[in-house]
Amino acid sequence: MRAQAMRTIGDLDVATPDEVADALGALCPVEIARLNMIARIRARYAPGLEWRELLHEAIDKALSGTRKWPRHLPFLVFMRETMRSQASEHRRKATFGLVTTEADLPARADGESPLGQAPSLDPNQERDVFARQILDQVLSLFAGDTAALAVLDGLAQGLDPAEIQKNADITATQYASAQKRIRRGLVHAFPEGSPL
Amino acid sequence: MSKIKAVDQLDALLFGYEDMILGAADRDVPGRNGAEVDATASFIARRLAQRRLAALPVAVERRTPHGTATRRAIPRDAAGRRRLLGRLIASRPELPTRISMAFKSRDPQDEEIAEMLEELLRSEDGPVAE
Repeated sequence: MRAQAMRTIGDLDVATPDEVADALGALCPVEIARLNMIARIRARYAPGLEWRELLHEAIDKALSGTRKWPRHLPFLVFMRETMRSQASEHRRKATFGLVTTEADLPARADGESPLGQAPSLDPNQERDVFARQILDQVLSLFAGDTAALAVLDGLAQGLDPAEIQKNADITATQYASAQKRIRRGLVHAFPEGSPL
Repeated sequence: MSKIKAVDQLDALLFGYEDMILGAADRDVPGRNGAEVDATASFIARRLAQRRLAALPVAVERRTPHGTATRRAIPRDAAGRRRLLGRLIASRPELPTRISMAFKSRDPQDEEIAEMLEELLRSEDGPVAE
């Protein structure tokens, strides 16, 4: 029998594992295609993480209840958040996961610390450089398309559609049209998904 | 673009692009009829099946004793039973000698065949608790 009991985490009302299973089982091909696309996008910015691995892990976490589905979120949005969180965790581990202390390094004959000679590698700086490269790569695809560039710039600044339209002085129709060009442009430029 | 760190800009851009995908009309979603959709659907189906299986109480799982399925597969007619026993002997060299010898030395009677099949099934079920 399907469990109908309401489960809560703190004040958050979350779905039961049976409800998660029902939602997964009810996904139509278009919804699955949306999830596949989102997994591709997030995996692109998590080097070493394969998109199927990311998606499958998200499905497993949702089914096992490791990640709770807040009832107020549509299921696909919940899955997007799960993948986003996993990809972020993967990047964090890839950046900071391996810690080597000075004691692990071979001592120098002159008694100097080997760390004193090591090049300065700031993981945050590396991540920022990598992110900048990807941003430039995406923007270069739409060189000459003022509206698309304005939309991308607005998205990167965390603006909502209304703010982007206002800042770029474009109508809702122009905004929607630019969105379509961005979607198609990224898919056609990178058949494996998006360059992101 | 701005003074926001590139990492944060990229995350916001990813978020916005994902919103575009979530909000796109069905006909604008790429790969909606592709093999990758089928592969993901298969993965989900497998996981749901595993979940249903794991949810079965142990008693239900054990309700069907070992060998019952084989027993159900025994043909009701004598010729069918004879063919089945012949196939079993040909495919399983580890069968009790008495059974394999029966076919080599002479033509066994229907009752003997039925008895042999029963013996085979008993050996598959393992020792019966007293």
